[in-house]
Amino acid sequence: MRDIYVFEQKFPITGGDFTNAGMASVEVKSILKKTGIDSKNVRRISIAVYEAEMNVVLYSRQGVLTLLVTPESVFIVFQDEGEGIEDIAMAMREGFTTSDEKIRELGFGSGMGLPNIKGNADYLKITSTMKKGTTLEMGFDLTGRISESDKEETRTRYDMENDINMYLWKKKGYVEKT
Amino acid sequence: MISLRIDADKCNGCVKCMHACPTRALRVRDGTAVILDDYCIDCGECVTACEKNAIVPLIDTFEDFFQKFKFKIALPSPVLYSQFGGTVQPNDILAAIRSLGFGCVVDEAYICEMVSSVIKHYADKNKSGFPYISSMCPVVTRLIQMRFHDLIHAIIPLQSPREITAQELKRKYSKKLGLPEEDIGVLYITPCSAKINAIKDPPARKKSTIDAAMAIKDMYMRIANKLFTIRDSITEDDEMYMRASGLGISWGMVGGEIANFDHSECIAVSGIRDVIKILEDIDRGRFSNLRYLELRACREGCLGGNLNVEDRYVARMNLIRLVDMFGSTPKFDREKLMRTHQSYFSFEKEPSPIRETEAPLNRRRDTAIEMLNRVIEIHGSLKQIDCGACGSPDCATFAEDVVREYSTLDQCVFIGRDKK
Repeated sequence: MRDIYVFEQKFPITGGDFTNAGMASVEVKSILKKTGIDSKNVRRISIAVYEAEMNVVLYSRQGVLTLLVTPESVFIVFQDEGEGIEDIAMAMREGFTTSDEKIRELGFGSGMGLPNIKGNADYLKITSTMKKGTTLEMGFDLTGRISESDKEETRTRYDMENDINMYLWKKKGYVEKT
Repeated sequence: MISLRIDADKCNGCVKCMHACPTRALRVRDGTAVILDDYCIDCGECVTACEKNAIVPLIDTFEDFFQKFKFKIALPSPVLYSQFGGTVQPNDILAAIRSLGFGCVVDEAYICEMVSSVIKHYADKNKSGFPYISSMCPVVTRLIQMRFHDLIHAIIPLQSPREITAQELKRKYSKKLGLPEEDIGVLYITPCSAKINAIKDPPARKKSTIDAAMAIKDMYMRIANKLFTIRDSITEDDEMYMRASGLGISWGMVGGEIANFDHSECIAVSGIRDVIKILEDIDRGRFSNLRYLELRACREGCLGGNLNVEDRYVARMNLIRLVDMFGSTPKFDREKLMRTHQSYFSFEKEPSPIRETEAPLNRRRDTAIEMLNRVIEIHGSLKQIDCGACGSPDCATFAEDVVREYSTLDQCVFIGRDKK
């Protein structure tokens, strides 16, 4: 097996901390640029990361963002300790929100977070346990070699373990690393 | 190209400018500050931070300008009106400038309020799902060109009032005097160093129609002397009479550009760090409900420019007095403007992307990843107190500089100390 160049960094996120909300996304973006990823990919990854980071800030006590960059892909895992998501399929719907008036007043909780992540990621997997927390994994292909139809599948079958889902990442052992 | 340069004789190698720089474009090498052109956005924060006055903008000289042209036109920024308190009026200031030997002096505020009206027209029509961004602050434009390539198309495609004015003036006086346009010189009196650069190397034009720029602070005494000796004023029947209302006069103030807009859909942001923050947010898709953003690199807008004389808050007070005096009803023909603005006001070209500030560590992504791992490793071994003694602005940048071979590890005073 040939050597794989992997960059890995973890960023802690604190729930309810609006002072530092979005900081992890800014750092991730800066790292992506330094590794020479083109602006189109940097943009879609940044949007997805920001939405996921804000989800942790808004709905959890704390969480960790793990960033993995390889020459061919970017893989990001959010693990949080929070309320959990009761119905993932429901949460994926545009406009669905469990936010109260207070959060919506702040301009968040529009119910576009997860759909926005889904729209920008090539691979998405969500596992959640009520009252415990949520793990959100998202993957981005940088090579353009994965077909649109495969991506469509890995992007929509977010709630199940699937061999195609893991095509890029599991094969190379990146998923196990987390 | 940037408009700032370090005077090595005055620079004592302290790290104040380096710490003040929002884009980490400064290093200290061999006891002297060095500007990295590829990272500099011309904001002038370093000029303000430097206590030795060692960072100087490239300004033209009065004498050079006067020798070079047959017919000389002065075009002062409306910010100049805010630099004199008391009862001094715009028309007194214009008369004083004219008496310095200019064939003509022209008020920019009148064009400013026309541009504002056209911007409002664009903003009202805006259904693009992202806010238009003002093109008026050259620092903001450069920042977007360097760091936010996806927002270049969001910059409102309108030229600055000074370019529009200068273009018209050259056409007018070339015809009137029968002189070729090369013999007519336009001197801009500027509140900041960034506008000098925008004149020397305009982002949205092939070439500027302005020939030289001088700082308000360098013209101030000349103008003041005339103000108190000639006591001349330009009267209403003079074609140089200032015809702007308070709307145009307030242009240099925060919110001046959007003074008559619907404020539930437009915001004005000033100060470079806040500007960077809001651009990050827009780049991530936030604020899609807004129609227009007035962004200014300097706190309190152009009144906070680094080449002004008066304190920005006092200048604001002076300007508000004038705004009240001149009212808020523009005197130009709005319908005519809407029919003709496109040919005079539009960009000649879209600003092009400039090499990104956070450029890749290496062209090859696998090498870049390896280097990034080294950056993190080195950063972890540092004290992380960001003292700047190594000549890089902070420990993270130092680690990167080492890996990029811009610096060496032994520049860190703590590593050197521990070795001994």
